[in-house]
Amino acid sequence: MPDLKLHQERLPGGIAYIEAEGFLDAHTFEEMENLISSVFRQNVYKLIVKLEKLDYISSAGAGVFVGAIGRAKENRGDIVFLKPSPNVKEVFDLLGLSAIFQFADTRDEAVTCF
Amino acid sequence: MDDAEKITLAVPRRTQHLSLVRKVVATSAVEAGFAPDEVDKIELAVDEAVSNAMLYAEPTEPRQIVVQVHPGPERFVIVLKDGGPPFPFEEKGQIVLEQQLRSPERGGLGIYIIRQFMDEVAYEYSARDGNVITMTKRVPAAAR
Repeated sequence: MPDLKLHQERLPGGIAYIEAEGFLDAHTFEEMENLISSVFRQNVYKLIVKLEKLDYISSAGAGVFVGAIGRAKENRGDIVFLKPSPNVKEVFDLLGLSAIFQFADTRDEAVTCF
Repeated sequence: MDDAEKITLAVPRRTQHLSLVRKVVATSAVEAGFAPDEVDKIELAVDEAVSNAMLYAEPTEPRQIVVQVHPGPERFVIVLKDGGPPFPFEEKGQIVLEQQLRSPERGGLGIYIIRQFMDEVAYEYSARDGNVITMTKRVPAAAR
């Protein structure tokens, strides 16, 4: 099983929906960074990232989202996290990211965050 | 520290081995009696220290880093030795979180996490071992 598994689809309203599974750490963060860059290159700046099956995140992984949200907001977009697992949410809380990002419990709710 | 109980792991300086380091540290922390959320914190703190040693190394630095776990009855101690040239650990760790989150420079967040999640963190440099980071978590009384 790969360390990080990413799945992407497009939702109506110009929203990219990304599901992340596994570990987002110093080894895998570039995969997430590359995926978000490719979404931005398509002029899509509204992102929903489902983190329910993400078992682990370190600062290298969190840094990807910190680096991306500025560019998303500059282009009238945003990044919404869907159902982060408790240990991932704890890292977000510690790093103060919970005050910067929006969180949602369902995909329908996430769509309304933009 | 009782060296008879010490676990020593020498790993290539490649991030693909981070998950192995995490597994060894987490397993040792469970055996030492830490609750699951404390195990997560120890695992993350060590990951951050090892990640920094792997990501910010110069090509000329030794190709292996050493992680030692000392599971003492009262103190669970992890020592990281990277064999590299001095790293401004204290300076990098002096971050203002809000500014750091808006800064493109990375590395400081990891040290911030280490300091938040461990009870004691000590840094020293020696010509033999390079940067040595000693991270300590007190073992809960109920587990002793």
